[in-house]
Amino acid sequence: MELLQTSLILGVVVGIVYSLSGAGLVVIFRTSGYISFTQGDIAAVGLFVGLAAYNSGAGYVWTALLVIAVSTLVGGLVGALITVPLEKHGHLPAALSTIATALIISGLLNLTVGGDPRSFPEVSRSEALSILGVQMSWSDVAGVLVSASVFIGLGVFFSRSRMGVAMRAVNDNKLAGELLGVPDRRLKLVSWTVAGALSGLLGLFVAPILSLSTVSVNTLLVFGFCAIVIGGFDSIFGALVAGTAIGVMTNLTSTYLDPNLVPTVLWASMLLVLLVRPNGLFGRRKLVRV
Amino acid sequence: MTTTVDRPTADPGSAPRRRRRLSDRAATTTGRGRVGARLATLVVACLAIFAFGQSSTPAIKYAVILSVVYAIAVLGNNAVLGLLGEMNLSSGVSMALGAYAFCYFANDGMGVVAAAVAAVALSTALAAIVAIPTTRLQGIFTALATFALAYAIPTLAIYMKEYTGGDEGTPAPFDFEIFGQLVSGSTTGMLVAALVVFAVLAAASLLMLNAAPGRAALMVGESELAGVTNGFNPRVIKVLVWTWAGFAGAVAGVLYALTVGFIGPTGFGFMLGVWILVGGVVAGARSAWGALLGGLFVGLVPVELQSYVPAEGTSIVFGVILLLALLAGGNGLAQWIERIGLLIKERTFGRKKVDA
Amino acid sequence: MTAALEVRELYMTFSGVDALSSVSLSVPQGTWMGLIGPNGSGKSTMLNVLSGLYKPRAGAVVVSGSDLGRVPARSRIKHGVCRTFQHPQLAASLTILENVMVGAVRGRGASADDETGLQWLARLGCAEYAEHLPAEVPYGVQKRAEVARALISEPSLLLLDEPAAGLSARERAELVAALREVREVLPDLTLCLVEHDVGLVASVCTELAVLSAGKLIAHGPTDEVLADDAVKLAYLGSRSTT
Repeated sequence: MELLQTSLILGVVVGIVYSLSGAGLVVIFRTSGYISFTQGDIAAVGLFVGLAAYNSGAGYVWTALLVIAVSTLVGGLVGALITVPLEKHGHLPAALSTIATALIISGLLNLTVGGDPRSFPEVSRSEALSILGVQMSWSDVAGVLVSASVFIGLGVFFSRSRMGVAMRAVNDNKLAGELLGVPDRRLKLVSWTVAGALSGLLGLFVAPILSLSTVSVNTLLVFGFCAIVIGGFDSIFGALVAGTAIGVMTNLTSTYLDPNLVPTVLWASMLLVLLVRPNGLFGRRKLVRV
Repeated sequence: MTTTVDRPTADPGSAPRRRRRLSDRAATTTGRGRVGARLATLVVACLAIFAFGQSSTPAIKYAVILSVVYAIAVLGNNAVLGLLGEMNLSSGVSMALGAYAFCYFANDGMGVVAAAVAAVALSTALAAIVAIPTTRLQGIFTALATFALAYAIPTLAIYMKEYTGGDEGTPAPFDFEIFGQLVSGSTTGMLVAALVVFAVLAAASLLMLNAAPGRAALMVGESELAGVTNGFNPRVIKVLVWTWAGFAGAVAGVLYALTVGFIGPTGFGFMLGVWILVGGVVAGARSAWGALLGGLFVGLVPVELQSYVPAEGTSIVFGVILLLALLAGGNGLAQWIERIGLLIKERTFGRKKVDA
Repeated sequence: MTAALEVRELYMTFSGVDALSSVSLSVPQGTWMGLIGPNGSGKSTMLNVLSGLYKPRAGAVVVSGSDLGRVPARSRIKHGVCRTFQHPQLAASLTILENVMVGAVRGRGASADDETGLQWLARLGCAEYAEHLPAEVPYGVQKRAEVARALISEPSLLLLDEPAAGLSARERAELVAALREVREVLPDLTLCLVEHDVGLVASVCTELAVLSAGKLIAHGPTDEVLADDAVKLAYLGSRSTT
């Protein structure tokens, strides 16, 4: 029974963190209409820089801030210099260019820091509180609180701020953003920067669990992809719900079935949702525009 | 006015004489038309690869054989990319399915040919089933579902160890002979077998591209709305194209198993599907012989690169090449080669005036 | 005699707003009906409902006596309904002629060969472009190629969505000539023409239906409808202010 409670509660904890990965992808999707494959590698750059700082004596808070700052910068640069300019050839080349960027970044990281997994510092292992007999560390609590506030922040941003509303509109209609006084290109760059920051933040909570390597960061992508397909592409809220559900489901799978089945269960549940609800659980049904 | 016999009699206007040929420029940009010339190019390309393989060291020959095997998967994946404009990252999965099923059936006592046929049939059927929900995703978002699948395959293979041998992997038949030629590893028989299979599938896809199936797929891929109002069922067509990709991948998987002689989960990491997709983009998704270039890109370039770049950095070169290919318009190397050929032809013979 | 097109009590709602509200009309076979109205009046919605791309909230669409309510968009071509689009929807890698022949594959003119396709292109005045790709031909030719693709499916009801939008004055004149040619060759064809250019509509259509805010406010012979005060107020009045 305790095993079940642990899988459920810690599942919710990692799920909320994973859903951040989906949120980053949704932010880019909303302005640009395609998906980035490079978010995991963007996070990795920030994390390795942060780890270097930590190892040379920086405190955790400074490390965390550095990770987010670097990921934000790298995210913005990838968007500004590579992907957004390639949109002139269409969405497919733009999406493919994120694969190219991912290959380049992971190659560079492999050359400089190597492919061996490293342990990454976390907030604190010590027990913060216990729910239904399940102990949660300060890291877990911080992950949930920070993720939740980021989600609230994103929700407010998209519904209240002029730029957020323009971001929602721009993918539907190029003119909409400009009517709201925000140029299309700037919206896209902002979304790439925000998505970069989100991946860095997410990496901070995930790297201690998975240990940091150039390969492990791709796990974020898979969870993020599943979260947005299940939740619905344009829905931040959907990413949150789906991410949490995925967290619980993967924990249950690895506890009661086999950890090797986790990715397969993820993929299968994604297909199942697609069969029943092609636009995800919270996605809008798109009307054909003629 | 003796030439009017082939004009429709009820035609009030002046319909020109029927011309079936695409202009050179249109043929180059669309990868269609000029079937005879393209088939000839395909044969020449295959012969060139054969000559190259035969004159290389066994290690390079082995890489060339694997390249041809990858080219078969690239060819299948190119249908999804070039006709539908969708991203498929699961070609490595189709290869894994074909390879594992082949080894399982062969180790279970089936003859090699029967095992190959059964493995390809099973994998193709599974590809069709998976394509039904996958094609519900719009356009490039198929990449998400296929990425997740590709990511799942290595661990799934470990989980299903009764059939796959788990971590340790499973041996493939190594004594298969056709016409007295051993088809395994880096033998000439293996190279010929892979090239013949590639050539047959490439010729088939070239002919289909220029016939009714290709036109239907292009209609749905390039203008789904008009496809629907003209009576096509986009879902059915998409599932068929994806199934073809799964079929080609499975065929490649069987040949892969024969070449390598042993398969394990590390051979089918999620990056394999990425390489196959990238190979198609770099070489040109519409070109049948270009798939061979794509295969070489996946199978041979990393081997050759190792003399210049450390193995960990190979992906940087791949990424840069992919970026350059995208910057050049994403039409692929094969099209650029055709364009240069066209330019040389125009320079030599002068630009032909469009006949009146 | 059954009407070529009969629409009964059609309702279409987008997020709570009625885009079409209680629209009923009947069009006899061989009639060319222009569907006009100000922007947002529901003309395009109407065409999308008739071609099956939108599912109406309520009401019936009956073509040549058969109810198309349960017929999906892709099967309507077999029932003789075919359409064009405001922005031409041609496959970029198929030649103009190949694009035209796509209409024959699942249409009722399945026996049509390339000659028939060329013949239609010639009647519409663009046979010389048959072997070109859509990107290589003028916009007006792309739009007429769509008309040819629709015609080769041997429709009983042809739906044209703003065929003149984006065309130059010369191209418009060519379009009118082409449409007159079509009427001469196919006297039994029923046509529903959505168009902003009222002059062009009036010059080819014998009947007009006017939509305003999703409601049918007039339907009858062209000259009578154009003389109608309500139409002048709702359509021409609002048009002069934009």
